[in-house]
Formats: sequence, structure tokens, C-alpha cells
Amino acid sequence: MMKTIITVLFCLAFVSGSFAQIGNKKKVFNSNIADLTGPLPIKKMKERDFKNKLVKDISKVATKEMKVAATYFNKRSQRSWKITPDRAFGSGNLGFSMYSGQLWKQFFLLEGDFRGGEPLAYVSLLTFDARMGRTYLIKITTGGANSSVYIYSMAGSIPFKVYGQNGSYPILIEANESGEMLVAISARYRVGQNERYPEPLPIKEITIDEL
Amino acid sequence: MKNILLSVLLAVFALSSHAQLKVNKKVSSKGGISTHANVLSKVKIETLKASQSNKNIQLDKLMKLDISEKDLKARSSKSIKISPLKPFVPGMDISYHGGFSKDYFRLQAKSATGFEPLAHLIVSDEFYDRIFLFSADIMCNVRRGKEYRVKIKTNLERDGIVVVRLGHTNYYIDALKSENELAFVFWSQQAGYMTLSVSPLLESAYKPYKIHSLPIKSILLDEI
Repeated sequence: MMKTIITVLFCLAFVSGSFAQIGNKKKVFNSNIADLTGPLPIKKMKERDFKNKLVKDISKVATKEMKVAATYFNKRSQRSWKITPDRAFGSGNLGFSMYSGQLWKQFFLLEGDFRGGEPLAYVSLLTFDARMGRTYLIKITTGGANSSVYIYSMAGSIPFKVYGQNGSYPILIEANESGEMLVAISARYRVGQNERYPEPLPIKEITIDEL
Repeated sequence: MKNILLSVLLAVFALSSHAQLKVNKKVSSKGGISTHANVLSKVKIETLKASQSNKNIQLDKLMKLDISEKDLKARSSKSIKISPLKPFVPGMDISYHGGFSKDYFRLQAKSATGFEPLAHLIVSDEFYDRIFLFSADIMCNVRRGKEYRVKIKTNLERDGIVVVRLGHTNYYIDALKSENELAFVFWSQQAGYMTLSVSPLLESAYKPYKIHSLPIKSILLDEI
């Protein structure tokens, strides 16, 4: 009898200890993430500087997470642009280019690039002309985008994570200067799976709304 | 007893892997494109007969596709053009693997996943990897019996060859840095959409083949 009680107590202690450890780990993990809740202020960058920054940040995991409040989705846009595979470039600097992927009539398929052994995190680049002080809501529409999948993006020089929301990945930025803005976009990653192996991301369209 | 059985199994496995490696090296060390191959100036697209092969594509056995001076200068009655600014137009569009920018469709090699038919694969020099030979499919709407001239404007950094698949047959075209244009003529027995598959740039001086991206500025389809 005594033996059984001791065994049960030992098991309970072990299990509670394990839970406590998991809880602590989660706390530590969460404390590293600072969410981007409002528009991300960005300045224009030269494409070469931006690309250099991308290369340096490949192996780093973005610690910030972009969260766009529902109110921004309901705001009326002043101006709007749309990018699709059959019209990927527009007036001014509007355009979308891929370093690694596939072009299809229905979608751009962004793929992880494993050249050199390390996966290239950012495989595409969105450019557009912004006006100083304006807020821009970028929606990357893929279908099947939900909270269990995410992409990495970088605007200005800040890398961040974006989770899927209602079939798209929303990015909210505010232009601190007028001129060409650059936004890098990665392939898709699945929560709980190895971040070294991105999945292909089929982009049907990208809309940029000036709010 | 168990240990002996395990050792025997390991030895058999090692021997079979070694044999496989030898076979792969044999395939990859075969010569490049023969310069004495027959040269075709026009290609009829076979639509009924499919050549089924269980072997990798052997580039040294392909026929060369060239264009005559007359066909190159022939006036076109109808033209369609695609470029990154307009990749899909009525009568022609493209799907491909690689990079995409305002200036180029950049065709890149795609590693085989193991599910592709062997007839579409070659062996590249990157760790003797099997590569899916064709990176792009260009769909063209053609009329029966009419001749079409294809002009692919490129921006090459080196000379090499490009393999094209017309109907069910593969041909190669010399891709010269000095010309920056790949041109050929074909005609079809049937009307409707035809698929022209195009490879990245292959450096045939290397054995196995060294594969480079092929930057395409535009593709022009002329009915001549």
C-alpha cells in the first residue's frame, strides 16, 4: 500500500514538473515575439541595399508578427492596385518579381530555393510607389490561407511573420517617405513543421490599397 | 546467427548501391552533342505517334534544329508575342519554372522528385542529380498545315544548347551568346493548341551537362 502511494506521488510530481517546464518554455518563447499591431512605418530603400539586407537575414527567424486589425479591412481605399500573373507590372514602380518559383496563368507559385544548401527565405519582391504619411494594406490572396500557415515578409528593414487570415496574408505598412517601397515575400510555412522546408505558395493576386 | 545475417544483408546492400552508382556514372559520362548530327530546318509536329522511352533523354542523340536564311527573313502574315509584361495573350501563353522579372522569364533547372517519366529526365553535374529537362511549356494555337516561325529572344552569358520538344520529339538548338536568339520553324498536322517545351541552357562541353538559367526577353510566333 505504502509503495503504491509513493509511486503515485512520484508520478504526479513528475507530470506536474513536466507541465511546469513546458509552461516556462512557452513563456520564454512568447516573450521574444513583439507583435506589429499598427501599420509598420517604412522608409524607401535602394533595391541593392534591400537585397543585401535580405541575404543577411535569411537564416534569422523573424521575431515580429504582423497582425492587422479587422478595422483596416473595412476602411475605404483611396487608390488601389492589383497584381495578377497576366499583369504583374503597372505604371511607375508597381511590380512583382520572383527569384524562384513557377509562373502559371492562374497563379504565381513561390517555391523555396535550396541553392547553396540553405533555403532562401525571401523568394519574391513586391514594389510600388507610396506617398508619404499614407497607410497601405497589402493582401496576398492564395486561397487556403489560415492561422495554421504563415509566410515571412520584410518591409523597410524589418522582417516579420504573417499568418493567413480569410484566404489572404495581410501586410499593413505606413510610408515615412514618398517613393518606391519594397516588400519581400517568402514561400509558405506550416505551424509545427520544420522551418527549413517551405511549401510552395500559390498567389492568385496581390492587392495594394491606399487607405 | 542474427549478427551474421545482418552482416550479409549489409554487404548485399552496399554492393547493390555501388553497382547503381557505377550505372549512373556511365550514363552521365557519355559524350555531348555530336556536331555531325543531321540538321533539320523545319519540323513537322507528329500528333498521333508518341515515342515512349524508358531511358533518360540522351542529348548526344538528338537532331539539331536550325533555320534557313529564307525562313528567317520570311514575312509573317500574323504574329503573336509574349513577354514578362504580357505573358498570356490569345493564341499563346507560357508556364515555366524559374525566376520572373520585368525584363525576363528566367528558366531554371528543376530537380526531379521521382515521379516524372524517365523520358523527360537528364543527369546534371550537381551531385549527379536527375533533372527535369524542360522548364517551360509554351502553348501556341496553330492552324493545320501552316508554317510557324518561333523566335526566342534571350540574353545569354555563355554559349550552349537549348533542347526543345515539339510534339513527341526532342531537338537541340545552338544557343550562341553572339546571336541571343533561338529560332526555328515548325508546322502541324492538326489545328489547335500545341505545346513547345523548352529547356534551360545546357553547357554541352561539360559531361555531365552543366545547366544554367535561360533568360528569355520575349517569344515571337510568326505565321509565315
